[in-house]
Amino acid sequence: MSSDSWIVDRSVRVLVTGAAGFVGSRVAATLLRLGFERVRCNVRRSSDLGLLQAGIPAEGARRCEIVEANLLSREECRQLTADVDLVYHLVAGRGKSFPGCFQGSVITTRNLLDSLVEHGRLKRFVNVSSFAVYSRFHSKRGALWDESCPLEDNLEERHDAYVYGKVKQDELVQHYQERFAIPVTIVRPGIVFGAGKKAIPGFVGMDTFGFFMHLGGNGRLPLTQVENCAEAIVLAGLVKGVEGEVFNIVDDDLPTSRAFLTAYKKEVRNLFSVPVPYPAAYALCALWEWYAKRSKGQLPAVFNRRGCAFAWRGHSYSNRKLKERLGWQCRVPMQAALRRYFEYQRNG
Amino acid sequence: MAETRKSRVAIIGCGMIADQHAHQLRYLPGCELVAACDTEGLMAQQLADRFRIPRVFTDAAEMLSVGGIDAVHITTPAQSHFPLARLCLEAGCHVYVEKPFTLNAAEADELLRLADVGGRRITVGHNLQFSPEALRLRKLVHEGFLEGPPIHVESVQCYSHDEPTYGKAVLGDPKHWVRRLPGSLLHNLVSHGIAKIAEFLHSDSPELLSISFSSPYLVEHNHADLVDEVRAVLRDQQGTTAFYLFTTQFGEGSNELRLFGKGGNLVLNNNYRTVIRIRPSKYKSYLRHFLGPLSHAREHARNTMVGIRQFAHKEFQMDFGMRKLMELFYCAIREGGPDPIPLIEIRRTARIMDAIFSQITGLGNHTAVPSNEPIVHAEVLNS
Repeated sequence: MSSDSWIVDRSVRVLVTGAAGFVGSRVAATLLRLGFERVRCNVRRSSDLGLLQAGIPAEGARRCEIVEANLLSREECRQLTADVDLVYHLVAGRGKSFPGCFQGSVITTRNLLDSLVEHGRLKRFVNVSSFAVYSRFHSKRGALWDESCPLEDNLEERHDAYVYGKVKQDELVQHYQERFAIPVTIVRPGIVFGAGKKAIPGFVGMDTFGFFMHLGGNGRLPLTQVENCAEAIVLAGLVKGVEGEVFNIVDDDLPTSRAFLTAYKKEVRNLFSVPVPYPAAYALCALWEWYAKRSKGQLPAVFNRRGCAFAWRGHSYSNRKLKERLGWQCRVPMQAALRRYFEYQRNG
Repeated sequence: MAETRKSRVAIIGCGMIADQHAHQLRYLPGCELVAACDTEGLMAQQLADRFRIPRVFTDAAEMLSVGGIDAVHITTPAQSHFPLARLCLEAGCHVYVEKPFTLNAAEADELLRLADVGGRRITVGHNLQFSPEALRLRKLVHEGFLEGPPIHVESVQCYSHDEPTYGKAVLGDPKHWVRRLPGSLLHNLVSHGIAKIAEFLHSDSPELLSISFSSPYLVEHNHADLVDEVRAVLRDQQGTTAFYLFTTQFGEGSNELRLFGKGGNLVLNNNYRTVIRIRPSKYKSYLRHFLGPLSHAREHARNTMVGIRQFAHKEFQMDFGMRKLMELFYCAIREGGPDPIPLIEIRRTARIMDAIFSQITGLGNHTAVPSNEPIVHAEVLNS
């Protein structure tokens, strides 16, 4: 990874928010591995620091500063962002609560951006968004899913608190980019997997009703191994000339949902699964959505046509922009990544 | 005097619980949401966007001064319930306050007085008392199943610290607003279980004896400064007794209310939405042991059928209790009927909570309490 095309040198202060998380811890580890001298890792007071501490090399401890701060506090944001040149923002609101996700994704980001505007020394703000912000409602099966695809425009029908928070977060970041000339790059990882993740991705199926419904069929999974993903995120903050750009992050050689599930059954446990063809899944989701409205919310519209199209319609994916503009390479090949992942699932 | 036009409703505090209020108000006939207010403008705006609320404010006083509001739902952290409710009552609005009603009984008394003086309605979000099963239980009591009022009441309330949006947030943040309440962690949780007891007691201030301590989980995780276990025994002036158990040691466990009377027992379970009727067995000898369980099985089967029927009639919403409480609240406003929660029950609940918390703080608790050495607090009110 050549540093000739970077916008900063290794001596600048880099802030990673959400640094105790599954991806954030790997982003911090990647920065330290690249030799950055001052990496400030923001964690919540309740965070489990296991993943973060495991990723810090022994000689890297002095270059890494772990700071507990609540991004909902403007004052704590102000202190956290003092003398920071580069920000990797991975904090996001999760869960089923819409205001909770909004608060965790948007209010935190607003506070952070306000502080950075006030300090006035930011070189780049990498906003770690998500594939979840895209809409695939009007796409065809097998269509290409890349950075030019439309974002979700009917959040009420999508009925997903996490998506709501992330879409609004992206809008906010773009607003700050336009209004305050904040140099922003947005990255949108697909399904991030690796040691530390236990659940089977929702793109494959779900076991909500007591048995595993395989919904992904022959569609490809937009997987990205966590170290590969972290490297892409880090590059998005370093490479010159990508301000205002969006990058989707997926690995090479993506498996189909069926191949993934078959390998899972072979390598981890022999899970009983019922395949559900996409048209049947779509019809069931449409029925659920209709009943949710008709019953005035007796069932929440968590299964709906937009969510179904997003996860299970089956698409093709591209990481061409990632490779061409950021010089990213898929260092951990898919087969090796899946082998390690299944090993963790089996033993972890 | 009966009010006939739609009630114009505002929400102050646009966090988690406000969503549930807005969702229920959307389906409530005779109500329209006209304003959202939060000191964090973005939070007010997101609620307004999602529920198509026309006006957004960051200042409650300004919102009230603009006018055009009949009722206000206060869904802010409990510290602000009293000043905001007072502001709303003084502005001539009816007020629905989320639980816990206030920080203490003195504040509760003052709000109830202001509502009375101004001729406004006030209620508190004890929606579990209006769940389908709670309504069935109340009906059975009124129909005389117990052959009189309950002689003894037991309320069991379980809570899990693993709950991500609340439990982990409170434990993970020493500055969390919940930890600054007089009853700390307990304060924001216990009112549901205590209100269930308060409904069946009679005097304002029952005698109360309680034990409070930190669970092994809190001690293990270095949170022994928090108290999350309560065992309280109560007795009112008519001799009705009650037992209240709040625990975090069973995970989500069960949330139950048991009523014991001369004619039998009633067991309400909020988790399963059941009301089990238990009558003294009429069978003799061994038949009691063989046929008695069958009558229990019949009760459970009946509850299953009731649940299915309610689902078919779209009366099985997760927040049915909240919707029903709101329906009764606005019915009382429009038609002048009784308060959905008698004000004396609101006052009684506040006093019981005060008594439990005073027994914790009064002895300087909120300090390390090893689980195997519980600090025992006992106090008798009006004994």
